[in-house]
Amino acid sequence: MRTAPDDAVVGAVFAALADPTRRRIVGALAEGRPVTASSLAAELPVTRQAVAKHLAALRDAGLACAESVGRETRYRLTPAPFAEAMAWMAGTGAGWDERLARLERRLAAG
Amino acid sequence: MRLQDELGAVHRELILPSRRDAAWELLSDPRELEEWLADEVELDEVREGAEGVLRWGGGDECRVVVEEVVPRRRVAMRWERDGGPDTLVEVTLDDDPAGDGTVIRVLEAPLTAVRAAATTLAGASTGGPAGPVALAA
Repeated sequence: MRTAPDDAVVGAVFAALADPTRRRIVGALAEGRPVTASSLAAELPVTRQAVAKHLAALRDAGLACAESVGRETRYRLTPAPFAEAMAWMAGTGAGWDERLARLERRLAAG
Repeated sequence: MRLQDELGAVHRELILPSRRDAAWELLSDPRELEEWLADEVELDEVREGAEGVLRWGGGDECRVVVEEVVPRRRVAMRWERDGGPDTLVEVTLDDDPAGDGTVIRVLEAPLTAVRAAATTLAGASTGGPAGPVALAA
């Protein structure tokens, strides 16, 4: 019934997404275009330094990776941890659907 | 992507066809929990600090610690399992404003996410943390 994703990976994804600025950064990265700290800072209401800090945190957590292109450092998402987190969401949600259906039947039976 | 909006928490909401007292009975009695929450519930009592084990068919099991009990209203637990992240599970009951039923709300979220959210919110919120955030803080 339950998938068994890596505990730490799922925790890291959700911890990363708990911060609203990081959530917006992840959203921008998820669009798939090359993203730099400067280009993100231009579209978000935060400084380049703050963006760089969040990108470093995402990279340390294994949620993003960086590549150097000329003088730029471009970031992209690493999809695997997000897939694991989604699998956890799906498995956990299915578990509750089943439990709540049982509860409803139990109450209906009186 | 839904998980971005909801801090990685799984939410469920359902209207149960009974009044709150009957629904609370099923939430607060370990023998009743065995009818719906898990196939086997090893827990003496649903009270704060109680610890036990939940088991499901197929070999799934988790350790459970009851964190908070508000009679007729709310049970919060910590679930610790080997096959996934430790989570906070909150089950809340409310009278259904539209009828005689009871609204049941379930939230399950990894503790790491709950704690990170508490840290993020600590500076932003004037009213102080509430619900699961307060528990983890």
